[in-house]
Amino acid sequence: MFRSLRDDGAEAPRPEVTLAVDGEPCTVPSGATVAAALLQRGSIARLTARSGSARAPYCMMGICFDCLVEIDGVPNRQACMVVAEPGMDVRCQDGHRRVGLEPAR
Amino acid sequence: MTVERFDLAIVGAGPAGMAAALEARRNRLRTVVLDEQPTPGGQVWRNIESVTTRRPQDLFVFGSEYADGFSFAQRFRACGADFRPGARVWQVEVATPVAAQARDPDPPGAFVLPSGSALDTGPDDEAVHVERRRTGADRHLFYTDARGAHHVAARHVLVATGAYERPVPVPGWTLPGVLTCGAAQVMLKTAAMVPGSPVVLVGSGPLVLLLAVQLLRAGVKPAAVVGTVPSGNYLRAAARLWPALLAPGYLSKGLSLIGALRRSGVARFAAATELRIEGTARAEAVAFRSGGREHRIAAQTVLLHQGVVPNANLWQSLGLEHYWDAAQRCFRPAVDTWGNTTLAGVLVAGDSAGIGGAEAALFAGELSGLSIAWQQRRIDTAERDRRAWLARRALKAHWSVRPFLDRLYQPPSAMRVPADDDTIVCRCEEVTAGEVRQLALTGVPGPNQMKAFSRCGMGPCQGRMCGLTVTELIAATQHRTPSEVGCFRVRAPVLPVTVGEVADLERPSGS
Repeated sequence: MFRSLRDDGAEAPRPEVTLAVDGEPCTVPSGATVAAALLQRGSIARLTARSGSARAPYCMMGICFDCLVEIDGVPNRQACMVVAEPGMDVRCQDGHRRVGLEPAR
Repeated sequence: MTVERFDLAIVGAGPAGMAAALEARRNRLRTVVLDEQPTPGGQVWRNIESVTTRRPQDLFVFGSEYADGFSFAQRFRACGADFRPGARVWQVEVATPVAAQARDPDPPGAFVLPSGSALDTGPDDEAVHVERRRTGADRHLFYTDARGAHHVAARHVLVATGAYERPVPVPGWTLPGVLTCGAAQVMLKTAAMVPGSPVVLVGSGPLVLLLAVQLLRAGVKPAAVVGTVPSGNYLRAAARLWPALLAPGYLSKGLSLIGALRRSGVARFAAATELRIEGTARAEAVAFRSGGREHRIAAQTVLLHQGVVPNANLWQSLGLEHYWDAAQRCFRPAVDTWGNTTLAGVLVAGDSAGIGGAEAALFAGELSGLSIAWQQRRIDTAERDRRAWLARRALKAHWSVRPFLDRLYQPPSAMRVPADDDTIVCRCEEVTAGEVRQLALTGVPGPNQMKAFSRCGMGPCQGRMCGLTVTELIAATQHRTPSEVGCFRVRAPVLPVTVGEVADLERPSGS
């Protein structure tokens, strides 16, 4: 898990955004990516399509595609390439897609 | 809808891309710069504008080289290039639609290529190149941003996509809590966040030292810094020390980082082998051998690094002539001193053409900008060469440290060719070293056939994370050189794009 540099509380609050990660509110500095929110909470991004093992952000620069998440109902978004916006609904992506079933929740 | 046309399209707004844009704009080229990040700076100066203006109190964490990026980004913003952030280029197309050729306003012969550049592609391709030179045909770029997919055309394309960290296929590297050292730096730069303790840094290269010192300045004391440089590397590097001494500042910077790390009292280990990351749901510990003993260090965050490699997918998709660099352990495009490739109108500059570092990339970008201005007849040969003189000298000085660094920090073979069969090589399709090795033993001739048999390289990252490992694994198993084995054939789109995005593309009129 990652934590803010400002945990000592000495600094004036900076602009922040609050989004939902797996239904739980999460606040990150404005300009931070969705992946930063995942790392702050210690959340996983997805379960792999083949073995179902858990993955979280690895490279943070759009290369590894391990931080794929569902954002506002759209799956396969790279969390590290999407800047967090207020009210975003971010959800862990569960395994492979299943034809004819409802999207993963 | 008509396609937007530019004299030059640059992919990447890092040091090389920005320097090329400045040079191009100085010579009044209509220039568009596409970058996937929200702001200019590349990875080395990531988020420099916001850190400088909104949280200057954090600048000391990153050091003066990071802070220097601000004035450069300001100059880039003011240079008149059409900067399009958040733009992810998924295809560059060099073949020219017949309709576009017919209405091309450039008179025949207006497009002249530099003499003595690396453009010998054999008799078969020659006719094609001559035709393109005569028509001054456009290169087409396709990208996606928040508003959808777009298409622009340009007479020249400069690929300045930089580098990324070499994947480190060791047992446990896919566990949550394992990231790269660069990822931790991105978190510091863009989110003002530091990894939760205990944090362990593992690997080799300047970035390990730099990040360790940056974390210390940010108030985080790593539980350990585990070096993986094999002792033999020091001897090999020492033979290249003399030219490195002439390179501006590199060695003194490195020594001062090592000194700071020493004084901090952080536990340090050298020449670690048999590295593995332990944990079930998350990373819990790093285990390794060092100094003849087994070690196991508890860790919530493990930060890996084995140097950086060119971010090559875009230029690889163009089928450029390329070669294996045995010292840098990666593929590099064949370029002349200006960055011209074997494809007319396509240049590669900066780390995407081979790892030279950010400062070298600035000068490489400038030289590419000069060459493009000259090819488009904005400056004559004398002016080009006069202006190139200083940049060439600086570029040479910065490159003189590389033979030393490349040998000192060359990852040990265990970090490139996993000995343990269960280690995952392809993170996307979860293909293990054992599967790749087994197929290599049955005689699979190269990475492309390996892909067909095992699915490695077929996941969303499109081989970025496993490509070099697969090449080296096949080479080691079959006792061939990586050069003979070759690399994945990369095809556009080089990034995932939806069918809807492609369908929405504005079409060029008449095609």
